[in-house]
Amino acid sequence: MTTPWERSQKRLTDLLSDLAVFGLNAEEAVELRGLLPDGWDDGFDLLDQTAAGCCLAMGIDVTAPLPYALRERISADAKRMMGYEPR
Amino acid sequence: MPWALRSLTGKVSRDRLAVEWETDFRPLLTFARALGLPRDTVLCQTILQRVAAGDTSAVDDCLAQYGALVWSLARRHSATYADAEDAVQEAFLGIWQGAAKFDPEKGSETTFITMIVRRRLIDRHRKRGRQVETASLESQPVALQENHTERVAISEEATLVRKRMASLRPAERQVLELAISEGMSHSEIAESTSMPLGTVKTHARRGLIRLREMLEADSVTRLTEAKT
Repeated sequence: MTTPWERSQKRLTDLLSDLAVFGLNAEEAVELRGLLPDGWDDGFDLLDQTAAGCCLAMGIDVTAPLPYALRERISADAKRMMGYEPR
Repeated sequence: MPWALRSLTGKVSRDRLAVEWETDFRPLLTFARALGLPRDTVLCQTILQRVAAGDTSAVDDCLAQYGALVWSLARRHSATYADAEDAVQEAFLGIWQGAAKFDPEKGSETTFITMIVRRRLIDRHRKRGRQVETASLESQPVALQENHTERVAISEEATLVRKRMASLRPAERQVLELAISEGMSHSEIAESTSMPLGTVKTHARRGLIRLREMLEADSVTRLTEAKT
């Protein structure tokens, strides 16, 4: 027989797994927020890290470089965001 | 040493060793901890820590180091070339905003960046409700770069994950592969494998949790080995 606390922990783990693998719909995201303990960093869970590790482990073709123009645009935007002013 | 050491430059200033390590300096932190040194004895700066500190040169380093990785992930999850370009811009914005949260003791920079990018791509995919179509992108011409090198070091962590994935049950591995590598939703997986939707979710959850447990056990073993 499981206690309500055990059930909520199980549900929390299920939602964190779903988030890491498939993402959540709006309803599930609200439910997750309600189950997360206070002060929980909205950053990344260990399960997210595992899913990212899986993604890398399955192999990623990195032979195509980021297109140069796009890269320059991203760089300029980032530096502007960081308050950098080119001379 | 279980972790590959790629590039290490260091200088001693007073009693502190300042080290810049390209992606993964956990072996050094583990070594320092095994020696009983306080954490701040070793001052390490990754690209993301430099971004978080406002070092604008780190932006270009990050693009050089991880641009191809992010581009590859974005193309895999985008229907068109323009969509992939937008996705990459969103992903890098997420990287700049999340840089301060990176903790090198918890994982490699490559894995952290992959986490951010995946989360952004999944959210984007859900919002648009699109099917993942990569075939059309594979034939798109890619602008060649000059004087820029693209280099992505697939982390040692990924090698360990690959090894551990082999220990999963076939159905768990299949669901994780379809979801993570192919970007399929649970309903798409259910349709293509003829598994009930609930079973797909259960396999994904169990597989991921079992993998996490195996990796945590590996991590404890590595720490114990470093201490002895």
